[in-house]
This record gives sequence, structure tokens and C-alpha cells, in this order.
Amino acid sequence: MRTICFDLYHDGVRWIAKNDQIVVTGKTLEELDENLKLKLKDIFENERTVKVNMELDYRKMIPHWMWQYHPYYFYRTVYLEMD
Amino acid sequence: MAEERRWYTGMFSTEDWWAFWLGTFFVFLGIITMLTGFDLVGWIVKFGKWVTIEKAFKASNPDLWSPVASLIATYVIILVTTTIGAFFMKWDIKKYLVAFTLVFWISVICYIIGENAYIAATELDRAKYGIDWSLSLGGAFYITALIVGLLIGNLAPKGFREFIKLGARPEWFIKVAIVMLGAKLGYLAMKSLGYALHILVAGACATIAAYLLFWPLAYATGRKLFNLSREWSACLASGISICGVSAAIATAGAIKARPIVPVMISALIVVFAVIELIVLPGVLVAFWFHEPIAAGASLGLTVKTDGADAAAGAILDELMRSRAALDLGVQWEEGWILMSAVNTKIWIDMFIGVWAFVLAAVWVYYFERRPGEKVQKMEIWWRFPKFVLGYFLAMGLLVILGLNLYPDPTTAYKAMTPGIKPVEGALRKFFFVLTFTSIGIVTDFRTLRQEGLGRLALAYAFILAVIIIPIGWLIAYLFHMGMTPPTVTP
Repeated sequence: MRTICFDLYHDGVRWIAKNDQIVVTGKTLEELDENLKLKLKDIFENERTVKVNMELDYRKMIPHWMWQYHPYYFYRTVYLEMD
Repeated sequence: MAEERRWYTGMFSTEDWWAFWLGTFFVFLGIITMLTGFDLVGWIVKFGKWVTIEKAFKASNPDLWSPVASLIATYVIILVTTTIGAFFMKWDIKKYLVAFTLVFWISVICYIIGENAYIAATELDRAKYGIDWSLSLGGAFYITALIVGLLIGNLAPKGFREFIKLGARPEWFIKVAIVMLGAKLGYLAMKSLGYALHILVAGACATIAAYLLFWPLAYATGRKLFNLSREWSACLASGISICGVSAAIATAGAIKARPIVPVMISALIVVFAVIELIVLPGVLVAFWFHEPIAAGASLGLTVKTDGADAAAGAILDELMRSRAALDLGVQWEEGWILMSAVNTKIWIDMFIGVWAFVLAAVWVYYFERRPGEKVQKMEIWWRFPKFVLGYFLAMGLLVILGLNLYPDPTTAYKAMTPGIKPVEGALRKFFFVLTFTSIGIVTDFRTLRQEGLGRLALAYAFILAVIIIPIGWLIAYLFHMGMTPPTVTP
């Protein structure tokens, strides 16, 4: 099973998953996952499941004064079935 | 750059871990001094009550350091160590150096003013300072630092406010101080082991009771009475009933809320925590003087940031001891009331990872049911407050060393004093003063006027006043009733 990692952002309207090669958006996390699945299908043609890790970019999304209270926002792992 | 999160992620890039590193570093300096007799902590500046200014501060080891040299050494060592942290956390170092320097010297001035004997000396102290009157305002140096901080945070020009905030890091400073407070608990345990354990266990029980009552009631009130969505209500409930900003972020992250949700709630938490910090110690001294440890514990359950809770605990400790000296003619040992406040808060903090994990599972598997998403058990560790490890490490190490290296606890206590006392006393108190100044600087009361916060602020105030504070007081009383700090001879 292949693993792929993304930084995650929210622009006020959409979730944005981004790494060096791919940028995918969705109004909800469900929609984001669906769009990711479509995108990854083209890249990982022979994989049945792809493990996707996404971590919200804390330092870009959360104000500086709040960092001292908690170390990160969220880190989600989704197993996308490519069938 | 996107990468997989590991168990050690953040070890050198977060304030929480850097509180662990710095606090543990200072405690180890004390332990090395204690074990070898080689004085690594004599430089720590110690402020005290004064009538003539030259007696306002001195070195922890006056034989090795002059007062001015120790003040400068303290500035340089705290500046260097925190700047190392700032460097690894990729802050703007030049700005941090200047901003922290301002915060440091403002804190020093406030400390000196607040320790003037005419302001701070108790009735029992007056003869010692050769004065015939005093205001008996114990902890005035904390209040002075807070007021000056608030003036800067609310009245200074915007550019300056934003700049100085880079060096005003209340939560970081207080976490460093809390690690040192662990050393204090270990050190005092040599004299009163059973009492220290009682406070620890009572705090843990009170916390569990609070978790089980606070969160469901706060969540239900947010949903039913104020019509907040699940997303807003869960984050508000965690923020107000668990551990403030940290809980709001952890919960928002666990339920995958939009980042704006914890940001708005956190702005409220910080302001309300400062209001509680100003109001509650005075109220508790006036109405709950005969239950000082319960009063301290109640702060841990009701004041929702570590900084404001410890700050309120420190003021309460000073005020209660001043009143005990005045009304009862006894001197309560310094620090037990504060430790009671911090202890309950630390237990609350520790379970945030578990709580976030539970909420994440409920949201992913029950409410939102996103296919393929898995909740990771590692979330409990990632969200665990690492400075708490430093607190227990410092306490445990001192208890183990004290009980094993010395023939009896009294000898251990005496042997520990030259090394540990300056760290858990003077240095820890100075970090508290830095916290007070910083809390003031980062608290902007204009937040309450921010558009869209009205209903949320109303919900917060209602839940705090009707649910959290009354239940917090009741739980604190049930688990700590009748406990008073050990007395000492002046």
C-alpha cells in the first residue's frame, strides 16, 4: 500500500490539500477525499488502497499567539479505496 | 513540506517541548548543585521586600555574586536559553531578543515596586523592616506586573503592542515555571510527603469528577440554550470546561472543525481567564478563607489557561497567607495553595489527549462517518502536554534522591536547599512575574467588542457563572475540605 502526505489548509470556504505535486480542494472533508481519490486514481493506477496523511499547516492557519497553548491542530489518516 | 507525523515530531519545534527542556535544565542545575556542592544556581536573582532600594534584590549565593551581577546574569541566562528555544522554533530571533528584553525589564521594575515593604509587608513582618505601617498586600508584585501588562496590551500604540507580544509568551513561561514547581513539590515532600500525596490524589479525583460533569453540561447548554452548532458547541464546551485554549484547539482538531472556530473561542477564553484571575482570588480570600487548599484547587478547575490559573493561584497563595498572618497569627508555608491550584489544572491538562481521542472517534465513526478515515491512538501522545512530564520528572527525581541518598527526610530537605531552593523559589517566581506581565500584554479586552462574538461571549459567561464556577467550587470542597497548609515559624 502506498502512503502519500499532504499539508492541509482552509481558505475560509474550502479545504485545500497540497504537496509538491498535487493540489486538491473540497468544500467539506468528504468532498476533499472524493476529489483526492479521483486525482490519485490517475497516479496510482495499480494500487487498490492508498494511505493518505494530511496535517493542517498549523503555523499558517493558526495565529502565532496560540501556538504556545497546543502543539498542533490535526493530523488525519484516510485509506482511500481506488476501485 | 508534507511529511508523516512521528512520536517525536515537535520535540524541538514546539513551546510545550521547550518548556520541558528549559524547566528540566534549570532543575538539573539545582540537582547537580545539590549533589556535588558546585554552585550552578548561585547567580539566580532573588527579589525580596525592601525599605531601602539596595536591598530590593540579591544573588541566591551572595558570597559569589553581587546583586547587580546576579540580576544581569539572570537576564543573560534566561535570554540565552529562551532564545535557543526561539531559534529552534524558527521565530524571528532579532525581534524576540528585543521584545523579550523589554518584557524582562518591565517585569523586574514591577517586581521591585510590588515588593516595597510599605506595600507588601504583613503585620508580622513590620518589625523586621523597621516600619510601623504597611498595606499587607501580599503578591502586589504580581498585580503590578499584570496591570502594567494590561496597560500596554490595551492602551499602547498598535505597532508596539504587536511587537512586544513576540516576547510575551505567558503559556510558555508558565509551563517552564510549572516544571520548576514540580521540583518544589518534591522538595517540600521531604517535609510533608503524606500531605503532598494527598494534594496530588485529591486533585486527580476532583479533575475526573469535573470532566464528567463540566463537559456534558456545557455542551448541552451551548446546543439547547444558545443554539450553537455541534462544531461550535463542542469546542466551546472543551475550552470552558477542560483546559482553555489548548482544549479548544485539541477538540477543534479532533472533530476537524474549521480553524476559525478555535481561533474565535480562544480569544474569548484568554479574556475571561484574565477577568477570573483578577476577580476570583479576592472573592475566595473574602468568603473561603478557612478552606485555603480547596480554594486553590477550585482555581485549577475554573480558570481555564495554565498561565492565568497559576497566576491566580500565586495571588491567592500570597493573599491567604497574609490574611492568616493577620487574622490567625500563623505563617502558612508558601506555595501549598499555589500547588493545589496548579495540581488540579495539570491533571485536567493531562487528559486532553484522551478526551480529544474520544471526541475524534465519536465524530469520525458516529456523527460524520467519513469512509476510510481512521482515528490514531497516537493522538493521545501527540496532544499530551509534554511540560507535565517535566513536572513529574522533577518531583519524582527529588523524592527518589531525597529518600535514597540521605538518612532521613529532614536531612534530605536540608541537603537539597542550596541547590533546589533558588530554582523552585527565586527563579520559578521570576518566571511567574514574566507570565503576569505577558498575560497583561496579550490580553486585549477589545476582543469582546469583535463582531460575531456576542452570542458566544454570552454563552461563555453564562456557562462559566452558572455551571463551571459553582460546580468547580463544590468539587474542590468535596475533595479538599479541611486542608490547610503546614505552618512555619517566621
